[in-house]
Amino acid sequence: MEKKTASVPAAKIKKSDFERSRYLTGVFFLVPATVLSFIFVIIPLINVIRYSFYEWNGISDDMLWVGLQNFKTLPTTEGFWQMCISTLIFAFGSTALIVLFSFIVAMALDSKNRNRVSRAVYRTAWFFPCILSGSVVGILWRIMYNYNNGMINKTLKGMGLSPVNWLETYGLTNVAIIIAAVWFQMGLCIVIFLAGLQSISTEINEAAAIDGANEGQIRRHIIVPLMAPSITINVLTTSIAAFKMYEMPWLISNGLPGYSTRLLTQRIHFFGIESAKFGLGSAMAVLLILVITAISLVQLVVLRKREDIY
Amino acid sequence: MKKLLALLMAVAMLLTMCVGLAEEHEPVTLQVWIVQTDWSDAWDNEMEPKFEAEYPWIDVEAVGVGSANADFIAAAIAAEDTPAVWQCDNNDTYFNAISAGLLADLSEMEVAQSIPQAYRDAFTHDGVLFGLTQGAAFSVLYINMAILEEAGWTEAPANWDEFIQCCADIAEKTDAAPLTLAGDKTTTCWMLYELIIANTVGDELGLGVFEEQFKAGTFDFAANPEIAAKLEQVVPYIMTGTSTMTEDDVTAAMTDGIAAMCIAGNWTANNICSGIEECTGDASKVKAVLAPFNPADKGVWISVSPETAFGLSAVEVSDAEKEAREIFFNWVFQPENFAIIQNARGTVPVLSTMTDDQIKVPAAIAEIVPAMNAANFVYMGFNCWTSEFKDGACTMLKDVYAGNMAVADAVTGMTELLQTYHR
Amino acid sequence: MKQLTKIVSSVVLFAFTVLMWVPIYYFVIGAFKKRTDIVKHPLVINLKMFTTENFSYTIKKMKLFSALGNTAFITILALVLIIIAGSLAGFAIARIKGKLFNIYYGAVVSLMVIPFIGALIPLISLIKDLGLYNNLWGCVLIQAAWNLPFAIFLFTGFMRGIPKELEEAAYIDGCSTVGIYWRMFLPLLKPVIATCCIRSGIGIWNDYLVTNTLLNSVKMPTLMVAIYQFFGQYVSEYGYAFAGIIMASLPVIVAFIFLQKYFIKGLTAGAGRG
Repeated sequence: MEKKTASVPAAKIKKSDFERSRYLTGVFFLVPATVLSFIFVIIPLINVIRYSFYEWNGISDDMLWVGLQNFKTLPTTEGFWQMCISTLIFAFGSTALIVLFSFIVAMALDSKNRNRVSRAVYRTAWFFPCILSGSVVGILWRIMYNYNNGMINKTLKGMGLSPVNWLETYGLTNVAIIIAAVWFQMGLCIVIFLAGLQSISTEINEAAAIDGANEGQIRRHIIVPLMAPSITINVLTTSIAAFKMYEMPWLISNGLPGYSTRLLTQRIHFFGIESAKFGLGSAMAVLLILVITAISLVQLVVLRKREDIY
Repeated sequence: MKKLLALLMAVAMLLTMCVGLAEEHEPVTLQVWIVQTDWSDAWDNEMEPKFEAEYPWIDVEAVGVGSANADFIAAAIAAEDTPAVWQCDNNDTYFNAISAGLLADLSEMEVAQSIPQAYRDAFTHDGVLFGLTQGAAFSVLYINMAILEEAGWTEAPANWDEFIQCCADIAEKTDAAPLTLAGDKTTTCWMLYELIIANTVGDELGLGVFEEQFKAGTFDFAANPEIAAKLEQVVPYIMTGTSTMTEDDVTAAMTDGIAAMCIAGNWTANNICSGIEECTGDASKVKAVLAPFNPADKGVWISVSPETAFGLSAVEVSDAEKEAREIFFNWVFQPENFAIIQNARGTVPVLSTMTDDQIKVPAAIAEIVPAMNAANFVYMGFNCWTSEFKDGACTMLKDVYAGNMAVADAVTGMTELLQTYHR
Repeated sequence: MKQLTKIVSSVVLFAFTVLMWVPIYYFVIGAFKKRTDIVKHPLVINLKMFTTENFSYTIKKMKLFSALGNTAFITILALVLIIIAGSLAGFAIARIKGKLFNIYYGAVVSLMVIPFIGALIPLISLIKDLGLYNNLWGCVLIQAAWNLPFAIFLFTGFMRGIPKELEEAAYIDGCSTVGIYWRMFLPLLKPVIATCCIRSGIGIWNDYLVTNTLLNSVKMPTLMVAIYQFFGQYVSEYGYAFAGIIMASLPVIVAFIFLQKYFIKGLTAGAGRG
């Protein structure tokens, strides 16, 4: 939005009246979105924040005001810090790999030597996992990772290799859920990158080629900078989705081994719903919202800066 | 004006009375929860048609919520949309529901009298009998005798030392892993450990003492070093992947013949027994025993529990609906109707009114029912623990099974955990 | 040399596409096998294993047609609401100057990050107070509201890219602001509407949490809740679940194939201008 500098030529003359009516119409246009968001997002959100100061089991009428106690209790709960680390590993690991791989695949798909039909077929093929639900993907990968009769280990054994204990080895399980996340979420990023690549007109490429730039130079100096906005949007949406993800990794690893693959969202569910400690669950939710907001803001600022450099 | 109103009301009352007389029963719809979806086919095809044929004015809707039901139950409670007949477990959610007045006290109901006292006690909280169980659950060791024979064992091991020796022989002489269990499910994950505890300290403490100490948070897992020592002995024989296996995976492992024995509840008997039979092609190779974790000179301890129970709503409703839900609740616990659930699940029923020909239990389990009734027992973990302890302790235990954590650390860790999170 | 790299890259791409499709292949053939065959022979299918029983059982048990109807009702109406509210707000933010709109945009973007699971219980109490519990409209409104921020984000980005001159010409012709939105912008929005339908639509179509907690699964079954019943406590009926997933995904695949032309366009225009 910074790029949009004020340059209003002709219509500037009858400014005041016209601008005011336009402004009022604009405010009026915001009404439906505001009403919907206010009732179904903001009010529950305010309640979550309110509950985070109470001790409450979710059923009874008496709620006990405990001030900041829930927030003080949180870090002392089992595996809290490990969970923070695993959430960060999962979010950043999957975001980085998803964006990287989907960029490579998008470049390969955009290659000039592919005709329209094959491009559409490939695009649909790579997009396909995105249309599944997170829980379906989780269950599917869990079955595949199974040590004894999972598809992956059966294939490894068939090739004469030793099976891999995907879900019981520290570190490896983090990799396992990230692989599944990459498989699941890549399609969307690829499509966004493809769209971005298409908007870089062939003329630019050709002009650069005539100027004597080789393919590597074109890539580095023309494609990547022009793709910066797509990279921004992909990084942002993918990482938000990764922080919010909850069922898919849980169904694969159950948070094991130890607390090494447990995510903060899963803990909200554990406190708020399973253990009927609603105040604690709400405090966890508030914390997560703060974390995601902070990280998204930082990302936005950093990525925008990069965009401006180019 | 007032007179007119009174007249109108009188007429209205008269009219409603006439309507009431003309139509004996107003139609009622009852909502029922079925948590265990493994008998939902039996419900759809047999129970519901049978009940609605007998009581045509009552329409029963069963909501099958599968295993991940915590969200559903929490939401239903938050929305004050609780069912006429609940399915209850022995945990905080239901205790909270009792204190909120959502669940009825069943102790005066006639059908409650046909449930044995111990099972009624297990579902009594603050003096309220809130659930009648749908069956008895107990720990079982399932054995593929074909693999044991390959390892040189013609009989099932009879005590702890034999059991460990048997595991060693299997590991040495066969390709199969000696032991597995459903580590993914907290109940079965904990089962191996609670069996070790019960068989180690049970005789010394006596019936019910372990549970009391457990609930009070005073039990010290490390006090008797034999607990850790025994766990240490068995861990090397646990199949790789066990800590992440579901009950379904255990069935698959037994069917594939890659595990010789498994610890599981009697509720999976149908699946596991038929799996072993499919693997060996011989029904006589299927063996179920009470896990022989006892010292040679002592009796065996097992872990038992009532299964999920039916609870009755206490929420105020119209008389007609109240009557209907009581009719339904009583109907479920009539032996001929209960037998439908029982046969679909193949677990051991607890109704004292059921006759032998109504009970269909897998042969391997039927064989050990007398021994089960005679054995000493502890209650399964989920009857005594808080969800925080469950989560923390099972996480450690899974790490132990996977070989990621030292037994000693886990045992002391659990004691600390219990001190913080107990009922 | 150049030809060689081209061939190599084509082969690599093809190989990776195949590899990526292995899990999908696995569950598609699984839908036509019995559960023991799924576990024992994961990647093979032959005539002896082949069965369509999974589908016939699943159609009946899932109450497929009523589940499909309910899911479609929720998805379509929620999308309509999202598109109306999102495009109006997007227009105001993108085209009208004023501090208010910038602040509003910031607020909308920050709503995108809220994890739904945290707000579940307060949301349920709210829905109950509004009398929308056990009502498809409750799901419609929740889905619309929670998917709206991303839609506004998309619409705003897209509309910022439309040249100012067009709009100014229309004003000079005497068009009102509402008229400009309705007659000029809305027709231009097709690609971004397609994008929105696919992105939010998939999420709504596949939703489990909202429908499971808000609707009575007997009276108002939805696809994902119905599929979930096959993952029981003791036995997971993979065959049934896979068959259910295939049937539940078909409408989404068809929608994607039809909308993909617009979808790409919407992203082309929107992706650049966050």
